[in-house]
Formats: sequence, C-alpha cells, structure tokens
Amino acid sequence: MKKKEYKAINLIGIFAAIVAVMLAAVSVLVIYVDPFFHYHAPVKGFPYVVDNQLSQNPGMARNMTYDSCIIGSSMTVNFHTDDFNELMGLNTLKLSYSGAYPRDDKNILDIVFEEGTLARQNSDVKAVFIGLDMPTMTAATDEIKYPLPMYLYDKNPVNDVKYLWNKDVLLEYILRPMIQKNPSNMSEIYASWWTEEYYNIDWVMQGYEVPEPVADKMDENLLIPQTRENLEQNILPFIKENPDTTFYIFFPPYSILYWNNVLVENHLDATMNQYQFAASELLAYDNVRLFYFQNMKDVVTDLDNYADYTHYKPDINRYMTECFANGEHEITSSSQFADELQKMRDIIDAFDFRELFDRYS
Amino acid sequence: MTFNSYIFIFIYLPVFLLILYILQSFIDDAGKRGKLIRLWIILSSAAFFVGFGSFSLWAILLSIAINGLWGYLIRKKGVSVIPGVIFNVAFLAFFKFGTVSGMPIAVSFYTFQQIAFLVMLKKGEIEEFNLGEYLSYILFFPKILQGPLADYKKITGELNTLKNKRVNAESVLNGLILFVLGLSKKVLISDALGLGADYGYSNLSTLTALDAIIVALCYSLQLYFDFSGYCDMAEGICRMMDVSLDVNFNAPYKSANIAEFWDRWHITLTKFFTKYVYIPLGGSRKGQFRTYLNILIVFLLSGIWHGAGWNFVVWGMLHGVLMVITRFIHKDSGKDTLRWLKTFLTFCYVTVAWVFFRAANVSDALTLLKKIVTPDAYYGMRISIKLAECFQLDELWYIFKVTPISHYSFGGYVCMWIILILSLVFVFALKPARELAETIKRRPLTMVVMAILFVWCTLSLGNVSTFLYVNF
Repeated sequence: MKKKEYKAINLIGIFAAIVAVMLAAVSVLVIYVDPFFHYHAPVKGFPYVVDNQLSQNPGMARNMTYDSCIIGSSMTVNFHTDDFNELMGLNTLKLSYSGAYPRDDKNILDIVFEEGTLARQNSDVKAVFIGLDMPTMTAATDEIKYPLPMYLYDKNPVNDVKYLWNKDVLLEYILRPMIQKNPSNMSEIYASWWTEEYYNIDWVMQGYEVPEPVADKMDENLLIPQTRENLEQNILPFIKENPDTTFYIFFPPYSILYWNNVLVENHLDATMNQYQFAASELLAYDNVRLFYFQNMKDVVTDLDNYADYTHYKPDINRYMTECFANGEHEITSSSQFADELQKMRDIIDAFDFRELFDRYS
Repeated sequence: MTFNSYIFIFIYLPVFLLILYILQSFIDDAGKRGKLIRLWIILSSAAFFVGFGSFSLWAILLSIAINGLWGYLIRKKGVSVIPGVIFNVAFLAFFKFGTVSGMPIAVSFYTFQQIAFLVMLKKGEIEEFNLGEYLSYILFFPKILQGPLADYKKITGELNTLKNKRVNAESVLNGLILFVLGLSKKVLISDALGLGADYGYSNLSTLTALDAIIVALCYSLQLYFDFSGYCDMAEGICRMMDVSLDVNFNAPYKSANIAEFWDRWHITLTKFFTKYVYIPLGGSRKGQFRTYLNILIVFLLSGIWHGAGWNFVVWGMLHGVLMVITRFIHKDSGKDTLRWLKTFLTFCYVTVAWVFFRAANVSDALTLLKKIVTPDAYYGMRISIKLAECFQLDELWYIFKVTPISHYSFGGYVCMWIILILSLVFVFALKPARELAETIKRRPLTMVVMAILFVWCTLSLGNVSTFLYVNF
C-alpha cells in the first residue's frame, strides 16, 4: 500500500496552527492571572507568589491599591505593612529593592507617582517611607543594582512578549502557586531569609571582614558633590513635585561595625559631613519628616540585634514604624541633627572595638 | 540579535524570507533579480549585525574596508597578499591580546574568512573581485556569528543560485525542522547542562570527585549541543532559502580517535587550518619530524585562536600531542575492533581537554582534575545535592509533585540523571540533527512534536543565554 504523502504547505500549516494556539493560550493565561500585575489588579482568589522585586515591583506600583509605600534597600524589607495600617492607618505597599541605589528608588517612584495608573485612580499617595542609605549616595546617578527587565518598566507593548511567553512566569508564578496554594503574605513580602537564630553576635562576627585600612584621611567635603547630585536627580524631584505627600525619610540603624568600617577606611568626618548635608537638604521641605535611628546606642552596639554588620532584626523595623507614628527620633532642624551626629560620634568613640575583635580573633 | 531571540524568530526571519520570496517571484529580469537579492542579503545581514552595538559594527566595517581594498589591489595591481594577512592577524591579536576591553562579536570568524578570501584571490581561486559577492560572503547572517567558516566559492555559488530559485513550502519545511531541532539542542539541552557546568566551575573547592566528573561531562556535552545547535539553526535557515552551508559537525563524540574527532568537530576550522597553515608549513611532505611539528603548530594556533590564556594553549597542546601520538602508532588495518572502547576513551580524553578550555585558568583546570584523580575516601563518590539541584528545572519539578520520588533519598538527583542520560543518548545513539531532519517522516505527528518543541523553546527564551562560541 502506498504511503500517504502530505503536502509541505499543509504540514507547515499544522505546525503554525499548533504554535499559534499554544502561544495564544499561554498569553491569555498570563494576561488573565498577571502574576507580575503588569496589566491589572490581582485576580481575587488567586494565590499570588510575590518574591521578585525587579519583576513585580513595577506592576504592583501601577496596579495595586495603596496610599503609601516603602522605598529603599534591604534595610526596608523587614517592615510589616500591617504595622503601618495598625499604627498610622495607612494602606502601605512594600516596593523595596535589595541593594538599591538612588536610581533604583527613582525608577520605582516614577511609577508610583505616574498619573493615570490604576493605583493613582484609586488613591493619592499620602506617604512615602524611604530608607536612605548614605553609602549608596556616592554612586553614579544612573547606576542601578541589577539590570531591570525593561519590558515590565517601559510602555512598549511589543516587548511584553518576554512576559507573556516566559516559562518562568508560566511555571513558577502561575502553575506552581496553583498547585501549592500558598500565597505570599503581602505584609511580609521580600522579608530577608535570616530567621531569628541568625540574629546574634557570633553569626555577625563570623561573617564580618574588616576592610583594608586607609592611611590618608578623606577630604571631609569629598562625598558632598555626588550626594547632592543623587539627591537632586533621584530623590528631591518627587518631594518638590508632590507637596501633599509626606516623605518619611530615615537613616537606618547600621550596627557599630559599620562605623568601624568608616573608621578603618578613614572617612568618619567626610561621612558625618555627608549626613549633615543630606539632612539639611531634606529638611528644607515641609513635606519631609526626617528620622535618625543610628544613635540608638542600645541597639547599634548590641550585635545580637543583627545578622551582619548592617542588617538589623525585624523588631527594629517594628520600632521604627512606631517612631514614624509617634514622632520619636524625628529630626526637625539642622542644628538638632548636628547634635544627634555628635551623639553618634560619642558612641563610636566610647565603643571598645579592640575588646570585641580580641574576643572573636 | 541571536537566533535564540524573539525578534529573530518572529520578526527578522519571516520578514527576510518574505522579501526574498517577493524578489524571487516578481522580478522578471534575471540579472536585475540576482543583484537585488544580493543587495537584500547584504542589507539584511548588516541589519542583523547592527544589533550587537557600535563597537562590533565599527570593527567589522574596518575589517571589510581594509580587506576589500586589499583584495581589490591584489586583483587589479597584483600586490602581495602578505600585508593583508599580517593586517588580519594583527587585527585579531589586537582584540584578543590587547588592552581593549571586550571583543567585537564574531571577530575570530570573519577575520579567518578575510584571510581565506585574500589568499584565494592571490592564488587565482577567485577569478574576479566582486564587491557584492565579497560583502555577502563576509556578512551572510546565518554564518557570521559562529561560522561555519564558509568557503568563498561555496557560499557565493550557493547565493548565486537564489536568483533561479524561489522560497517554497518544501524548502521552508526542511529548514524549519532542522531549525527547531537546533533551537531545542541549544535552549532545552545545552542551557540545562550549562547550569551544572557553571555551578561546578564556580565552586571548584567544594566539588567531590564524582561532582568533578559530572561537571566536566556537563561542559563537554553543553559545548557540543550549543555549538552544533547553532550550526543546525544556521543550516536550517539556509535550507529555508533552498541553499546550504558546509557541514561543521558530524557526530564528533562518536569518533574512535582524535584524528577522527577533528574530522567531525568544527570541521570548517580544521579545513581552514589544514589549508592555510598545515599545508603551507609543508604538511606531511617534509618528513616525520616536520609533520609532527606542523601538527603541533596547528593545534597551538587553534588554542590561541580560541582564547587568550595558557589554558587554551594547554587545551590545544593536549589535542596536538595526542594527534601526534595517534599518527605515530595508528596503522589503518581496515578492521574496526573495539570501536566502542576507543570511542569511550576518545570522549574521555576530549572531555578532560575541555576542562582547560572551560576553566578560568590552568590552575582551576588542574584543581578540578585533581579532584577526580585524588578522591576523598568518604566524600569522593558522593554527589553534592547542590550540584544536583542545578538540574531541577521548573518543567521537571512537576515530576516530583505527581510522583512519590521526592520521598526517596535519590529523589533530589533524578532530574540530573534524566538530563545527563538523555544528553548522552542523543549524542551517542541518535543520528545528528542534520541527518535526522532529512530522514524524519513528513507527517502531521512530526509537526505536532516540532510545534511543541518550538513552543517550549519559545517559552524558555525569557532567560536568554548567549551561544558559547560567539565569544571566540
């Protein structure tokens, strides 16, 4: 019996039809569930997993309902947004980027304040909480920590194909959550992986490396120009353009080991000057409320509060939220801030680093 | 733009074929048709290349300007070819060994083709200097990034036939099947193996002996699937046009000795070195010692061509020395006894040599090999679960959810073994993709499988990886 011969054009047609149907089905599924919230608000009842700052923050900023947000580096990931609701009556969204540079903050703030998004149609931005990491303020003004998936940030619908036809999106963020049925708790998203037992001095000292000593003292004005640039390009425009939004800006309470780095690298005066400059710039705006937590002596000198030389335990986040609500540790003038910095200097001067390192040598 | 990108697959390639079809179908005058098709190939290939940035673009433009001019002078004024060859060697050395950060894309490939072009012109193997032919020979997009190192006459001859052909369903179908097979080799197999290789070479100090063996094996397989997958895609694109490129891979790991391996692996590079280095050095015509010396020189150059580092020199020498030994002891008896054993040993040797090719330096390569030859009494024969976890792809995760495998101690290793065993089966038991694409039955079921593979690859493009050989 002669075997049936199929026409090439028909076989190509079969191929094209199957490909078209399968890709269309995947596209429809991704658009409907929209695990990165790129097109719409979350679908009720779907167990969304939120664990990807780079990919999910822009969509959340556009399409979720919130009236305030948390911006900043890993210093902000352990806030519980429920605390902001409980203490301040705010519906807060966490939009942290671990390791964020000022430009990362700008990129997400651009979306937060973008007019016409679903988020802005639902609510104005009442408050923005920014953890300001001064070490990053000397980065280039356009430097970002990680390459961004631009197809989720720009408004080009064509490159959305990278989202719609994406195995990770389909398998990790749609099918797996459907099976596991274990959605993220939006109040705690992006929380650091360190569990309670990691917050202890032994763990901190085990991972701590003293930087290379620097013999020459840094010029005390050296950090100012780039800090000014970063403030002017990446932070201040939002403060100026949104006078009805309150910006709660805080300096995170790094441990005393951070200050050891500053001492060893010989830029204590330059760093203090940088803090003073930034505070003075920020305090010029009525809609800024500035908080300084670094001189909480009992906290920063007790390394049992930390998992490494900068990252503090979630209890400290809770405490800072309480301060945002009750005004404790708030700075209202440059002269007050100078006093607070002097207290910080006193803590550094009084701390016995030699004893600490001898104990763990 | 690379072959494994959305823009190439869904926009560039269909548009290229459509316009080629239009030119072939609607221009009556054959001469005019040929010129326009050549122009279209040059322009579309240039557009393909522009996406790699201005650094790469300026580099290739400079190379084309100098070589085009020198080629013209060779043909018209009879000038020596040597300055042209020196320029190309210096051009390549400048980027490979100079202080410039980064390499222009594809520079190693097109520079060798420039040398071949000038030498062929000088020898009269190319009769006329034709700018259009020259540009299409250098730029032709299916082979510009990673070869095959095309023969001038072959490629221009093939492209010249386009004016008398028409893109048709049969040619598109033939090319499509090979393209999908090549894409699958790259995206589904090579990239999965690369996860294990990358982990291993980033964590050398923690590897056990068995880990080290698996890591070396992963890279050996990854490189094959990556590079041959690219060549399959390139050939698939050409078949869609109803033309063909030189064969670059012919089941190389089935080789029973190193000489056979180089007749099957990166075949066009072997041909290049034979024609432009080995034979000019005297080949095998000047006695045994010179023959062996010439072989070693060829492999030394091959090592240097692949990278600037002692590890590449060692890699080249490992091949060169075994080639000399093989040539010294090998007597072709006509019998092919114990071929499976010879194949196994050749594969092992080549895999060991790839360790130097992949490692950041000789020290790292020796570290990995030392792990294999001096196994720890307790940990040596264990496989690190962290290495095995590299292979737990999302697709395979569902196996764990619907089966009780995860309850067993071997559960964490299942994905790794699935990927490794399948890869070895593809390499040693199946026909090469090029052959498979020709013999596979043209029926609806085949197209269903191809469509599923294609969609699977498309969904995997979100995490785009580059081709390994694009960096050489």
